[in-house]
Amino acid sequence: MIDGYLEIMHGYLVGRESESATADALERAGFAPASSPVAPGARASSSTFGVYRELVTRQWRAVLDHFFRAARTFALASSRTDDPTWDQLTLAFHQAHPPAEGNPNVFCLPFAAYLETRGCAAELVELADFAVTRYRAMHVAHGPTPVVEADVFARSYAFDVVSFSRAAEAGEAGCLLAAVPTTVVVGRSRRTGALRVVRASLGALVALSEADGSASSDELPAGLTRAMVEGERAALVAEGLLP
Amino acid sequence: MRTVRGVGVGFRREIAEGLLTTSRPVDWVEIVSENFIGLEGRPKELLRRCADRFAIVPHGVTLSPATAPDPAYLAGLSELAARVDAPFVSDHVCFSRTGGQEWFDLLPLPFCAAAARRVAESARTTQEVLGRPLLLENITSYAVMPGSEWDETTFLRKILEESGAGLLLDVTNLYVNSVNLAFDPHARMEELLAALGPSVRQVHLSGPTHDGQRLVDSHASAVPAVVLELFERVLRACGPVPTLVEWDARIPAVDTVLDEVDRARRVWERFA
Repeated sequence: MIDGYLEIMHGYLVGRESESATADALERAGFAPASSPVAPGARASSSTFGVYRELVTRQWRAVLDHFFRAARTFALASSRTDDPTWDQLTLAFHQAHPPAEGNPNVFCLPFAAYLETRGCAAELVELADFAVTRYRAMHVAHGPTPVVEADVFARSYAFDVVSFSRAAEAGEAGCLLAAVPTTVVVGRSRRTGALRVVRASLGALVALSEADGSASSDELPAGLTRAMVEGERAALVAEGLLP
Repeated sequence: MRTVRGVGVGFRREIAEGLLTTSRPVDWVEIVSENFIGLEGRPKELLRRCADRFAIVPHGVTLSPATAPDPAYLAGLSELAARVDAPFVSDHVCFSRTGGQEWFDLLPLPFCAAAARRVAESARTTQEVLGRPLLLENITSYAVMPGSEWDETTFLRKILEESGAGLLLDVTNLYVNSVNLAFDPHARMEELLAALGPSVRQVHLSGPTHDGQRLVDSHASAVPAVVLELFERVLRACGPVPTLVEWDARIPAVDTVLDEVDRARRVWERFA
């Protein structure tokens, strides 16, 4: 019997049914309007459950707004009239990817890919991806050797998402997202456990690829010397991004 | 198994380093189970350091005992509880999942036999899988849900009797409900303690905030004086049950949080 109750409430919470239709359905299923107060002396049950759709919506919106603070800041500041608003985007995402796990962060992880699929502005996609990448970096175990895209991440962005995210997440007003190509290595320090975001040169990317075995150390891209790669490798070791 | 005694505090990322390094007394901590189940990297490292220093109780928010228990979740919770050698685990009398979808909120049930039976079944299953006691917490609600035939105390009593679970009495939740649903919190507490006093195994304290329409169980402020008065009444009836101060939003500096723990401990110690 309680399964029927939950099924009816589901229709209400996802916005498929109105409050009055839900109340009618509950009554037909044997859940009549409450006849007893919550406690002796309490006001009779005049308040309704209508508040709960608003509350759960506020909850999942807060989860996305917090996880993607920089992307949200950008979206609110820059949306053109023909762009979907941040609230429209997050609502559509929630409908397309309803959260299935108790950890709210897991619900957030497909958002960047979703924005890209929808053809959203590159700035928005990159800011969302930077948030997801940092989360992933902090929540994986280190193997004995680094594995790119498993425990250390390299990203090339068309915009300076690092500076913008730092400013937006610190609550700075009026931050601007510069169209400056930005390549970063993101990982959790093997020494301190702290998040490290390092602006990377081509030499650093080569050093990273060599460390995870995906690139040969025999041939270097034009313009790079072995000494340059070794210098970058040492810098990544110092940051704790390579063992 | 480590003993949980005295007044603890919610272990949250924002104050984790402060708690791990403070010289001030912290009797035990509660972690949000979902923040650690199955996670590697920083959460795992934090948990290891936390377990080195404190007795830990996993406190979940997605057991959703009115829904059929999720075996994968129970397996993860079981592994977590074993890893921290938890004396018990806790969650809420609510539903938080419908149609396979999580709502990230603790939603109220009708106070009726069907709901009590389902929650009790889930609690029994949880205790069997974990091999540890489960405590169930009273939640805040802004409405008495359709289908309610009993008052909340009767509902809780039926669940606890049928499941053998203990009660995690959230004093702030009772107070918040008293404001939103207009009843006397002191009379309600007397009635609850008379019926459920022996089942109370732990207490939660926190500070609510007002959102303009209602008092919200936000865990975002200091514990109100009236909640401490109610807490004292609980201790007088139940003895020095383990108590935990929660601060989950607008989290201040760790010393401010620990000042709240000290306030609660001064009350607790009078009954120790």
